[in-house]
Amino acid sequence: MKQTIVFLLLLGFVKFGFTQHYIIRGTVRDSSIKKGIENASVTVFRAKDSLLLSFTRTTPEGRFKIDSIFESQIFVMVYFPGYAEFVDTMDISKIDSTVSIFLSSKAKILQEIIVHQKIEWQRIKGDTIEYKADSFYVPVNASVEDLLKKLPGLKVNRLGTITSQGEAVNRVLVDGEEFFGNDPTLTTRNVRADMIDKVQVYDAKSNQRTTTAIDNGVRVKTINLKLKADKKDISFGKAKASVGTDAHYDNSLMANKFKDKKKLAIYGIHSNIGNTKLNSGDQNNYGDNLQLDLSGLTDDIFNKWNGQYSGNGHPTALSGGVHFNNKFDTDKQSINVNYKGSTLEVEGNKTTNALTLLPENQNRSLEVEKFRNDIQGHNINGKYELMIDSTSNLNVSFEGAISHKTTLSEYLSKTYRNDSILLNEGQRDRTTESGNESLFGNINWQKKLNKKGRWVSLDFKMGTRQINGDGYLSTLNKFYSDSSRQETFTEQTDQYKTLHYNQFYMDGKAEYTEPLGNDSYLLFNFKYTDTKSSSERNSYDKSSTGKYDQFNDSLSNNYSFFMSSKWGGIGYMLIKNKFYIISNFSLMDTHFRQQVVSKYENALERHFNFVIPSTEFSYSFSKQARMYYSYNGSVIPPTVQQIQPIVTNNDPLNVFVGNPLLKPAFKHLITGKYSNYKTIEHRNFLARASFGFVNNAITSKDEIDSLGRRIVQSINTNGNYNLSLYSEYEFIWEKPDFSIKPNIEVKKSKYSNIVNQAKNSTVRTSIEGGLDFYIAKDKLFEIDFNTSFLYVQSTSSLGKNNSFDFTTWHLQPDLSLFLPCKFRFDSDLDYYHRQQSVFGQVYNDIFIVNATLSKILTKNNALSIKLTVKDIFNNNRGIERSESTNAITQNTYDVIRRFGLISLQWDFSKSNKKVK
Amino acid sequence: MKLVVLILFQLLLGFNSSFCQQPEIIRGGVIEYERKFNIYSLYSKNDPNAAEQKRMYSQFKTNYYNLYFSESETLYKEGRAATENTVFPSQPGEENIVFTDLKNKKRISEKKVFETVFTIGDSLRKIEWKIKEERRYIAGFECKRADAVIMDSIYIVAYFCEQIVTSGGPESIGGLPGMILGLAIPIEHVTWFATKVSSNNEVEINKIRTKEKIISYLEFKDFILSHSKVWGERKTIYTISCLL
Repeated sequence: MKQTIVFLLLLGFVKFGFTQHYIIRGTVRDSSIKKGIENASVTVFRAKDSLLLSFTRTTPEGRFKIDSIFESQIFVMVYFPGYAEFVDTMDISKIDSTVSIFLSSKAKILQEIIVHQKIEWQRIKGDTIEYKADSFYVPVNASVEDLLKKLPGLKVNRLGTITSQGEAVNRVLVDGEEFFGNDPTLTTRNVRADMIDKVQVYDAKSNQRTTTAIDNGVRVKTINLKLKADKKDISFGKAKASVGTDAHYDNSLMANKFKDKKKLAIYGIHSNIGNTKLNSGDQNNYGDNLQLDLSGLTDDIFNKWNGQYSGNGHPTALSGGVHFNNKFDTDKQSINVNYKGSTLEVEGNKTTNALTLLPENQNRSLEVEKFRNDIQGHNINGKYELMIDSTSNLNVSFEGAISHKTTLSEYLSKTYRNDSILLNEGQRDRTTESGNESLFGNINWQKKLNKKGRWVSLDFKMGTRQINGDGYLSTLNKFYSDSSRQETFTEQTDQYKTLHYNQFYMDGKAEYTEPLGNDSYLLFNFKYTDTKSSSERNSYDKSSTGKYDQFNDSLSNNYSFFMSSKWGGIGYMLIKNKFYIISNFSLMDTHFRQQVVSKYENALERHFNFVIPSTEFSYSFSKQARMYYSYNGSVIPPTVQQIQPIVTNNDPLNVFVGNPLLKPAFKHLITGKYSNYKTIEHRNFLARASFGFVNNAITSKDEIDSLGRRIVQSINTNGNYNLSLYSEYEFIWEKPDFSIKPNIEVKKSKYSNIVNQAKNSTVRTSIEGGLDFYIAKDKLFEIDFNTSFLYVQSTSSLGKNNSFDFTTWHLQPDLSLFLPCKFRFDSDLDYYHRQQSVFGQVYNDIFIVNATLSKILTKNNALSIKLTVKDIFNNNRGIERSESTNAITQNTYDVIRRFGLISLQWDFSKSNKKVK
Repeated sequence: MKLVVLILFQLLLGFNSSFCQQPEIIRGGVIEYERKFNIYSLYSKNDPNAAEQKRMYSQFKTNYYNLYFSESETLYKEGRAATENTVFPSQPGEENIVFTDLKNKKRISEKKVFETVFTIGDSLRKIEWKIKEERRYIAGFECKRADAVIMDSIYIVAYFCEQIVTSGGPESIGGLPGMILGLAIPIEHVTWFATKVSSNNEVEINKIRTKEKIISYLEFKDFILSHSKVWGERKTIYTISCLL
């Protein structure tokens, strides 16, 4: 009888319908004292539309139980006064789930006395921090960069690089999409702060676009700017015209039109004050997407200038570009296209002082160079993405670039032994003209297969590049023997040179992931790369006819190169809530061949293979504290330049000899990181350490002969390592708006090479540290002060006088003052202090001050006038010091000095949406 | 000078206590709501009386209500006298008294419709709330926003505070994880906002004593709907008021 009743009851239960009903139970505790919190409100919502499902209060021990939940995709919200609200999504898989929730207590926030109160600005949703933009005060016409500077936990430096929790943020999206080629400063300095509703900061899964892709553990720190609803249909931008003293000018235009998912932007710059590109990250990138080339083009008269302006000389730049992106077909397809064209001309002077340590004595050299270079180019690139269906997607991207470069250089040098004996002196004049064309394409396809976690991806890349150039090289070098001041011999060249280079490469990769159980995966990958290139260099001497028609066989060559590599790897991944571990083993097999074109014999062939392991492990103690370790092995193959270099005569003072027996180097790198980011209490701590050592490191054997010429050959050495330890601790307060971050880095490294047949070991120790602080008061001022110091000590085992050290300081205060009557004053200072160097007291203290006074002229804040003075004290000097294993070098060069500028700027922003 | 600083400091503290509540959980007390009804909404543009009425009365009729609450019971009734537009005739549903028993999930309301007073017994209204991102401070408490649709088509917006444990609010609106301190019914042109919250764990909640017959909500609804035909233009507004 009893059984029948039970059976009927059970039936009744079953009959009640098969709607799955879930229970969630758990505890709510204080995260620091770990005690249960009573009467915390625990609420459950349906994820898709925020519908309130159920709620309860915790018991005195902090326990709760919510049953009769009929949805499996929910989010849970926990509230208790004095603690930061907790929100997290849950995908319920079990009928009865238990969760442990920890709340972080808020620092007491004093309310402002004025009636309009500060509304809750920060929410932490799982691992995303979300800031409400309007809660932060920014000045009129402020850009997103100005807004990011105000968000606690984010830091922006002068170049516009954003840091969050010790890591650089390399991706800034607008409404989830890349804007203008995925360059952060292009977005942050161009988009206006008043268009933004929310700023989200989170770690995104690597570059996988779809949520179908599995977590491969790689994270990219990302900022997503969510636009306000009424700013999705808007035209905005700014135009600036400036004219200054000494014929300086700086004009720029940036105009954008956003309409729902379409974004169009155009820009133009015309400037000679160093504004050569739209922002710091935008390189004048002409086909650098292609793989490293193998032809030894590095030491070549055509490759002496990389096409950039980096502070050395006086630049004149004109550039412009267009960007367009759109999503259509209900977001299944998207395209992103960019075009850029530019011309840049740089001219200047550079002086180099170098001190080289030898076993028996020291050589000092002085070089002076005058140069004028220019480059014009165009670059077009685009990306197309298609979500084929909910399980697969396809990405296609391409890039085409064309550029034309001319260089002109006049160069003089002198080398002395021990300060008194002249070893050599020379002069060198070079002019070149070259053109570079490249094309690159990439197709990528990913598909999620029938089982959860099973995933396949195919990737194919192809590229081609062509460089053609010609130029003239004329040199005169005199070498003196030791004892007498008589010339021992003279070298003179007067040549015409040509270069024809082309390269073709392709790269195919396949990856497959298979799930094993719930949280672990097995990964397989295979990659094949193939590169072919050929370079023909011809040199012609001036003949008696006065023309360059005498073919110089010894300095001409025609080589082709082939390199193909196969990689096969197997990996294991375990991803759990609190930790993940990823391990990989790859086998690499590489062949390469260098031969004279159409001559198969005497070819240089190398073949090597390696096993390359890597492991990564991360453990989260809590949502705030995390630890990370990794080990990576990598192969550094020798370049053609090191094995069998192409003979060139550009620099008779530095001659490279090949080493056909050179082995590839293998680098072991171990890194560790511990971070603790108390996002609510605003105390952030980070410690990082890395140790790398290299087997068969490729270093060099230098022979410096009695005439002061250096003959260099690459060799393998052991015992090379580098160690670095870094730590920073950041304190942030909200009222007043103040943050301070002390940081320190200690490095030690050892490098072995051979100088004049004596083994040389150089140990370099450095301590670098600084203090960054920031303080601001809404509508009044903002001060950002970065300071850093560097102490370097380097000892080499060669001869006497073999150790040196130096200290440098750098202070960088930036100040903004918001004055009445719509005036604004901005100033930035750079103070450099360098210790006296071996080259004498020269420019050891440099104090550069820039200041701008601006006023908004119109009522709608669109038009403003600015008065700028750069380098008020006319103190700017170009100076760079560096030390290597047995040499210290100091470069001084031309820089743009003091000038004044008056500008007119127009900021416009027009929302096209009709207000209902 | 020192005196001035001292006074300012006291003022600061004073402001502090009302603007920034010490974070604590409140389990019982009294809340005063200010209910504002936009009188002008009663007049359509074409109404010849409109202009004249508008001259006589200012835009809002303000009433005050008190909500006495403990952890499991609430009583909503009229509070102090209105300060403005007192002569404006009272509308149906304005003099409601609502007693809610959260433990037993029951509610008793006393509603005055023109001349008649009805006593209605009912179970708790089941409202499907959707939480929103907006946050607002009402009477010094941080409130979250939730929206819902009641009676099939009436959109309401509520601001509730989880610091107060009781799941209640003005009239018969509740069912959120805390106390509703702000409520707006756009179509009715009426809002309730809490002006004072005092905490008192020993608060006395008087149940509604009734001599009248207790009718069910459905009976009440039928009655209202049948009589509303004679209410002319304003019938929708009155109907909703009553059925709240």
